[in-house]
Amino acid sequence: MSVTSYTIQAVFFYLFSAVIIGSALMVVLLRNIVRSAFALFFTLSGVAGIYILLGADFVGVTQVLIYIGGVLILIVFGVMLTHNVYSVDIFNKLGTLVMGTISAIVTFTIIYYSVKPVNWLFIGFKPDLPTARPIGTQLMGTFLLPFELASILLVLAMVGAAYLIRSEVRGTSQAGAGDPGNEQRQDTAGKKVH
Amino acid sequence: MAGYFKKMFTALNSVLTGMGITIKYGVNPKAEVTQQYPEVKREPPDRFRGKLFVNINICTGCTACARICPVDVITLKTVRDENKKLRPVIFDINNARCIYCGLCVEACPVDNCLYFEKKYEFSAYTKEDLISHFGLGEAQSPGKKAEEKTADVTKEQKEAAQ
Amino acid sequence: MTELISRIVGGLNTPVFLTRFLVTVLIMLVSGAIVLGISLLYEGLATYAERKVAGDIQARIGPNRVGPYGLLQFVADGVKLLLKEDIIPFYADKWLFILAPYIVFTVSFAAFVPLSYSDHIAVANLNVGVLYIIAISSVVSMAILMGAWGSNNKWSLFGGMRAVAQIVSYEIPIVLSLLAAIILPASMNMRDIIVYQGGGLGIFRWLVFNNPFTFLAFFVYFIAAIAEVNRTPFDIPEAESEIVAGYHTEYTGMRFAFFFMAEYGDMFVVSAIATTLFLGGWHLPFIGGISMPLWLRDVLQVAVFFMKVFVLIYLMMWIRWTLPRLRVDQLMELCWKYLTPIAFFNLIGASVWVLLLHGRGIYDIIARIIVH
Repeated sequence: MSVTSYTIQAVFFYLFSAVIIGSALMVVLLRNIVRSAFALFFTLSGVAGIYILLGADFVGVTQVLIYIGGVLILIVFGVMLTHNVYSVDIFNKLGTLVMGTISAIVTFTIIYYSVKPVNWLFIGFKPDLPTARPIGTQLMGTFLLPFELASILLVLAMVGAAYLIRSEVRGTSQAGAGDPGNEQRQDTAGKKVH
Repeated sequence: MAGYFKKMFTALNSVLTGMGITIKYGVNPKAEVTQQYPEVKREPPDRFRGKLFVNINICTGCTACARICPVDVITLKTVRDENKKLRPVIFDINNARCIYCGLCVEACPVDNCLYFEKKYEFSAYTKEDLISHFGLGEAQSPGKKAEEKTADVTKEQKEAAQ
Repeated sequence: MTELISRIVGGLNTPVFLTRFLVTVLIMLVSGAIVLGISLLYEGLATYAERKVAGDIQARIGPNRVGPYGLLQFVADGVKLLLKEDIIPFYADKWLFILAPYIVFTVSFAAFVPLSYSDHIAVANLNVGVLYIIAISSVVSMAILMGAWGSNNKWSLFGGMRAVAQIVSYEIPIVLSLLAAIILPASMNMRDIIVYQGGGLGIFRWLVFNNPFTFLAFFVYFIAAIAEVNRTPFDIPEAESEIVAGYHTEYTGMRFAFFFMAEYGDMFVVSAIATTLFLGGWHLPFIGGISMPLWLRDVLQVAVFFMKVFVLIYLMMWIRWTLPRLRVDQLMELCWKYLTPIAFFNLIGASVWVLLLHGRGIYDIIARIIVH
């Protein structure tokens, strides 16, 4: 609404950007991979902050809930269970180093030259409108098919995961009639005790 | 399937019963059994083993207690007085080391000489303060070291004999 | 908040630009400090209340020596914890070890923000208030993992992983049961939800009495919330006799106090959500119709809100000192096999009810019948 609101926004924008870039560098460059996984936490929080700064409150909060509360926890679990945690060699051989630098520069140039000439509409400072309702309406209306496909995909992933981690099928041991040894087996294999 | 609902109802039932019992204690202010310690002290039972006490006037200085103590708590130094009787000049009990086993009390041949008092509040700031001095030498020359005490008593006995 | 800023800045006659900026920052800091102060005071008194309630239930008196009725016990505890030696294990990961309690406490105190304490008193009236609190609670699991790994202790790691598994699992019944209640006011804004429950003498339009599905949802939410906060009977990750002390084994002094206070803060927050969504928030029971000056109404509403939250907290403490601890597999079984299916069917039932009856609750139906 006035210049000062922009100043506050600018301060927070630079703050969040510093957090994102700093922690992203930490993720890539740290030797201790558990520390880099936890630095990813700060990166994702910074991104959530940028979302909220843009007025997308629902997306920002969902970013925290899903990314930090779900995806990042799985990443950290995976990282903690790896073999070599404390000194990962981050510097590769010269050949891959050169190729890596070239591809990074090429990607950056492509992104820069596609973003720069666009005439971004400067909307100005808007009061906070609720964004959850329009998102819900769109998801259930215009984008219903992708929504349902995504939910089917998630169900498939869950069923697959449950199938992969189930233990050996027990309890199909034939209980011989009157055999006292079998009762013992049934206690541990079946769930008759509780 | 029936077991599923049955489990839920059993769980709910047991939780609610338990909570009913605890709330009866929770809202009843008379249910408290705490004794406010420094104001209200419990009487120790009859055979309670508190600090050791020796009735030094009837002690015969036989050193049975000092010899039987498994932890060497008792320090006993005796001297013959004018009637050729052994008197305990130094009788120190180290309450810090005592394990309250009661062997010394059983070993003492004199009735009611060495026994457990009912005192249990004798904390001190230094280890030396935990040693009780019962020796007779203490009464005659307070605060002096052991040899001096013995020297004093023997000197007095010699003077009395003369 | 912008009106507040304009009013303050309009009152001063100094150059507007810098003043607005400074005033904005000052207001942010002051409101943060007020929330922090209140939450710290509450947490101290909550530890005292816990010990008193525990004493009452166990037929003994709680602390009663320090200050009148032992009220200053939390001050004594705080001073004691401050003076303790700060031990960081030699092989511990220093950054992670030190950062974990700060994040846990920050998150627990950040969840106080979207709550609306009265008609006009709220720190920030977020449009996604409910979802924000749930999201913030899931950050706690991250910080617990940080602390667990940073302690360089296998038992802390086990405790931390169990705690994370528990928190992540119990988020699902919480979200589902909250959803069953949110479909009625159709908003995640805390204040809107409370305003929806107005009228009806301040009691009868509570969402918990609205339809049998929200009634069930309240209990499912409460049980899942106790598990989310890691309170007995779900405190496997931090219980003293299990797994040493779980993820806060290696923490001493004030660092431990941070974890501890964060637990009480979380208790307040989940009770506040239950009050807001199910128990009518700050609506004055029976005396809401009487006209009274605005400040008195606000004060009474804040008092009613806190009273309801404290009743729920007392309920949590009562449950803690009654029930034995659940084993980890029993805990997970409870969540996945009992609470989640119940919450799902509850949500379906609540949606069907709202669809068929166009959002009318039992009170509305009875009122309509009586009027006709």
